[in-house]
Amino acid sequence: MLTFIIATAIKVVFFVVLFGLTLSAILTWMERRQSAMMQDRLGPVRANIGKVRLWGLLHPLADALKLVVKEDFRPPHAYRALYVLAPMLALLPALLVFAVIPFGPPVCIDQLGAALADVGGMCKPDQLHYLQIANLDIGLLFVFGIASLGVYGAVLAGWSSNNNYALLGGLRAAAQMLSYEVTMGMAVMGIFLVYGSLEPMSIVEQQSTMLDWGIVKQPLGFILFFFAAIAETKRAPFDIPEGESEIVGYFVEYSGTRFMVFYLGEFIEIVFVGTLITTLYLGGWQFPGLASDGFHSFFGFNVNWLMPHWAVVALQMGAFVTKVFIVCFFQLAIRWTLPRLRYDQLMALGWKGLLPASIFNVVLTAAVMLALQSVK
Amino acid sequence: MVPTGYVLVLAAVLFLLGLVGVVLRRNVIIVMMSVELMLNGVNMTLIGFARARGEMFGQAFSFMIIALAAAEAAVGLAILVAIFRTRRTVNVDEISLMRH
Amino acid sequence: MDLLSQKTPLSQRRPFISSLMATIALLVPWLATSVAWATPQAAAAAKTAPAFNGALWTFYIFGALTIAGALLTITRRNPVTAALWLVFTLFATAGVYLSLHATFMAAIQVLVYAGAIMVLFMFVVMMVGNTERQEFGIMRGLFSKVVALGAIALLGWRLISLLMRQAPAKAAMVSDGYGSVHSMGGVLFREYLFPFEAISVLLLVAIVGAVVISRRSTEEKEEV
Repeated sequence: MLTFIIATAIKVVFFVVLFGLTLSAILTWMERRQSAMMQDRLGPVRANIGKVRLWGLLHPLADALKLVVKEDFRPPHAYRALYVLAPMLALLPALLVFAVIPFGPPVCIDQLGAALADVGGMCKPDQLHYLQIANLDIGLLFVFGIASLGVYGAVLAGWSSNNNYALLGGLRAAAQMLSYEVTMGMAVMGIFLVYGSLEPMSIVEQQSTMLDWGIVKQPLGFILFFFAAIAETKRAPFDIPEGESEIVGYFVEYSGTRFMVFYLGEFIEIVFVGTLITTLYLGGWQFPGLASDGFHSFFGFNVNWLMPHWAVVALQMGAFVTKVFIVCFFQLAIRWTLPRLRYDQLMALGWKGLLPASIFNVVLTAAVMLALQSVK
Repeated sequence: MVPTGYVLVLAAVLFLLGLVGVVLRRNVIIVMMSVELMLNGVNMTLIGFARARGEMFGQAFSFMIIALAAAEAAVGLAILVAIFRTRRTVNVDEISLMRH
Repeated sequence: MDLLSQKTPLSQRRPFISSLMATIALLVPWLATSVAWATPQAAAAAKTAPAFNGALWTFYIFGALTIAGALLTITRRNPVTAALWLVFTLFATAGVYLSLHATFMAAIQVLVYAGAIMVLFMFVVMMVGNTERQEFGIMRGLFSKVVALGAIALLGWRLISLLMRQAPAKAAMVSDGYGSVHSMGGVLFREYLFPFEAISVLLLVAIVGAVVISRRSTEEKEEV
């Protein structure tokens, strides 16, 4: 029991705090640098501690410091309890969903030096640890259940601010997130059909070669899921509820720390979408060609490079982080590439374009699965 | 292991609280929320019995009740919006007329 | 649309703390009675069980939260607050389901009820705007309210005493996969395939109905 609690605490600190929060802080800087490069500017490069400048990587720290010490303004006649609660409700689901994402292979603590061909079979059960905070039977249902609660943060922020524009932003956010959640759920149904499981760990373990990756087996599902996920996180080109520069969004009355929570929540959601897409469609922590005891084939050549267990684990965790980073990079780049949709276009795309396509994807996947079964 | 009697009492209390809400409240939206509470009480009874018998059928029933509740909420709220548009009120005492 | 209606100022709202205290005051007797009402069989079952019963404690905690949330839901004047407390209640109910090993139903409870149905409620509450002042005082229709509450109390007394007497005290032992997605799928798509399809048709009808009802008719549009 005690080992379990300690192991879980270590996993939470590593995955949520060190990985999730740090990456989202870096993404805030990356977004501004990326947009600056695209628009032929320099972007934020000047924050420094003495001589240490690090290409402006210290900007997230400076931003956080600025927002924390800013005056906490509360609009008059705001509904106080909900006004305080809304940012927390926006951040909490984004953090909770990390619980079921596997960020590495099963680890055998006492045999880190040996080359293990079969980790599950060759390791004592009490030494075997899964690099996943909670392995739930309902797995991805938990993710969707918790993620669907993100709406409340936006809606309550809009309503409790006692500002009509904020209210409109909140309503838009609710309608948009409710619409695209359906597409997201239908798109991921194809993954359930192909891998026959709702557990992320099992889905990742089945994507051992690149031909088994979800993006190969479910190309249409991947595209639909990616679109819907961007709409769920309210990112451009679906950023009508927020639209910080042109449209007044639901957090217009927020400032200081509370605004920072919304802002950070958005970037944590980007990281979360990155981990989810990596897990479902890009093979999770699987390193192409790497088995649990080293490489047996390397880009088509038959080799036999045995590696110790710790090196395999490190490589696979590195692969996971790299994949997540690439997906996050794409999410940021989309924002500076595509123009924003109008509200009616957004609804038409969701209900008339993506949703029928995702239903078609489910039917197609089921038909192919059935045909393959009858061939066998 | 949870004694089934406890579950049933909790479900009954939930159902009765919902009933009190339906009877006492005049705001249609809150009346509908109270109906949801009653549905949840029934759901909990079914799941409690499913647990007592060690089989899944009760859970299948409650799954369908949730689907039913979704349909009820969708149609009920649509009616509510339509009523509000013509009469500008959501008070059950003021929408007792059966004409426009 | 009454999107732009004013909200009542803060001073008219009842304080939050007092309602919380009242809830706790109501909860304690409920917990006490539910423990005291335990049938002899239940007590015997509890004696043979191990010292720490995790499922039972989960049930107590989430059961108490369920009752608290339900009480707050039906007593809030503001529909938005009431809806939020209902979301809280549904969460607690999902916790109760977990203590009964119904993991799939707990997930569905959060996903469908809290994530979809209640967002719809919230959406409509905001579209309708502020409705707080349309609530009449407690005195209106006092006689019928008292009669109704008496009837509910009678029903509750009969219901609970009957349930306590008739309920099977000892729950059956369940296997590992009980309540999982797999077992649920087996039941839904084998034994209950027809009801499942029927409910999907019902949902489709409800969607179409909701759109037809809430859409403005063409003559109304011309007026506006």
